[in-house]
Amino acid sequence: MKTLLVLLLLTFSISLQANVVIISHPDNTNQLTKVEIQRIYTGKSSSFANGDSVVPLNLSDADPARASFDDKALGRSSSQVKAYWSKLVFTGKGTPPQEVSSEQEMIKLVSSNPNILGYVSSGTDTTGVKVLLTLD
Amino acid sequence: MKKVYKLNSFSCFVAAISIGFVSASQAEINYRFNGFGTIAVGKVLSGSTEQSSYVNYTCPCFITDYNNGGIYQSNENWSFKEETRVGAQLNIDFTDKLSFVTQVMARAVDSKLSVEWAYLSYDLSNKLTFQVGRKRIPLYYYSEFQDVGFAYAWLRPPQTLYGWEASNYNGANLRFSDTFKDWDITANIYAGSETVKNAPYNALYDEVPQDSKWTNIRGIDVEFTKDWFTARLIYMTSKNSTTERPDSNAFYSPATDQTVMGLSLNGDFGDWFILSEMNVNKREDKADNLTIRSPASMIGVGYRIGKWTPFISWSRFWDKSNDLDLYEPERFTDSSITLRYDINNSSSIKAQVNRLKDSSLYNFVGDTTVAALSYDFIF
Repeated sequence: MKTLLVLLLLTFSISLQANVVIISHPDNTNQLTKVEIQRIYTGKSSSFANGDSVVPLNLSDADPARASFDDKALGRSSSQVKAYWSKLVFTGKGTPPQEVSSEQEMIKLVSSNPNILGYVSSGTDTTGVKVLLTLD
Repeated sequence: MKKVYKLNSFSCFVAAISIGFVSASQAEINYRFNGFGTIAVGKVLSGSTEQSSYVNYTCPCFITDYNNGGIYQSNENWSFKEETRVGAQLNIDFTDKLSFVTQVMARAVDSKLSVEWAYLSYDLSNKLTFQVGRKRIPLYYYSEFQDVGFAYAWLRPPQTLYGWEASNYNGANLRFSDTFKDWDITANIYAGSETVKNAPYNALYDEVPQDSKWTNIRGIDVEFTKDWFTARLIYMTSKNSTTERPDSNAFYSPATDQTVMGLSLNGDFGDWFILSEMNVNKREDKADNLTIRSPASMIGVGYRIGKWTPFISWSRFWDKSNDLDLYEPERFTDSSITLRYDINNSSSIKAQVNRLKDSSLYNFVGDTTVAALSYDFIF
């Protein structure tokens, strides 16, 4: 019984990924759907709906919110996303989004430039940026 | 010889970069350095053949890489040299429109450095890009990234399809990409030529070293993607010739006309994915009135379960010759089962077993069961 409980807890903790919020500069008036976010973060689109160019940023591999984002926004494991990008990178057809080292840096960069798109785990202080969408 | 040739063409691009540096000295230049590699061991577990000596190989044997001459022979133990390789790539952005990409490979099978990519790329608009230099021939779906093991489900793409003399060309291409409604479309036209000194492909068929060349390469590839669906169409023509050694160092003339057509259809449903390719390679030697048609096809199905990806595939290469005295057809089917495990976000291990059934009309490699293990990584 105890073993079962531990197993259940383990299973639960694996599926318990933090929600992710998509953030932009407060002056950005564009709305974004999950499909548009997928297109931007897979290199298929490089502009917002109003035609302004978009620069997506990723959190580094080490950040747990990165795995949540890859799963919830792109529907893939981080490893599968890397495999997808390695095809494009090593044929010279694309460059994955630049990575930033922390959620604080993400907030700072997004709040400084209307073209930048980012994400942080929900619950993070998002003062200075606009939350466009919550992925859960 | 091969190395010298490639370094010569490479030096042209080094000069091109230098010019780029001078003209872009005011702008901010960005560099990116990435790489990938595979460490693999493999072995012929069992097999049968009517004649164990084929060219200078001990068979039953299994060709892992026609392009670079990898072959597992039945008299060898676990061997790492056929498929182990590492690649390094440098991208330089001179401006937001002009960039340079180069990729160099080192392979255990030939212990040489080969330049796989070295080209300048210029964005004429957001939809149109012009590129010039050395590139991979964008022939079949995996042709351009067949060295990047981390990027695909197999341990190696099936050699029923991915086995020709040339896999690169020096030339130019124009790429167009756009979105129509929900469809992403990329179309690319290219032209160029390639000479392979002491071609490893030819060494799989003849003990006499031969150079191989593809000239007048002209091709188009178009890819359509929507949600889970990807379709890719290709058409390429070239004039192929080899040297007539040992009688002469001259290339055989007239050249053989090669035409390749192909369609790949892929479906990715998240957990399940299906891969398929259907191609026809036609070679016409007009001097001898010889026509060889080589249809090749592949279908594979995989399922992702967390870090694991079991995957099975079946493929067939089936030569048809109009003159059996001049050319005896090569025919075989290759079935494989692969298990991939993602160790982390940048490395994986794979185990693969292939069953090759050789139905060629001459003494070729024989039937084999082959096992291989690989560690694939990117950096």
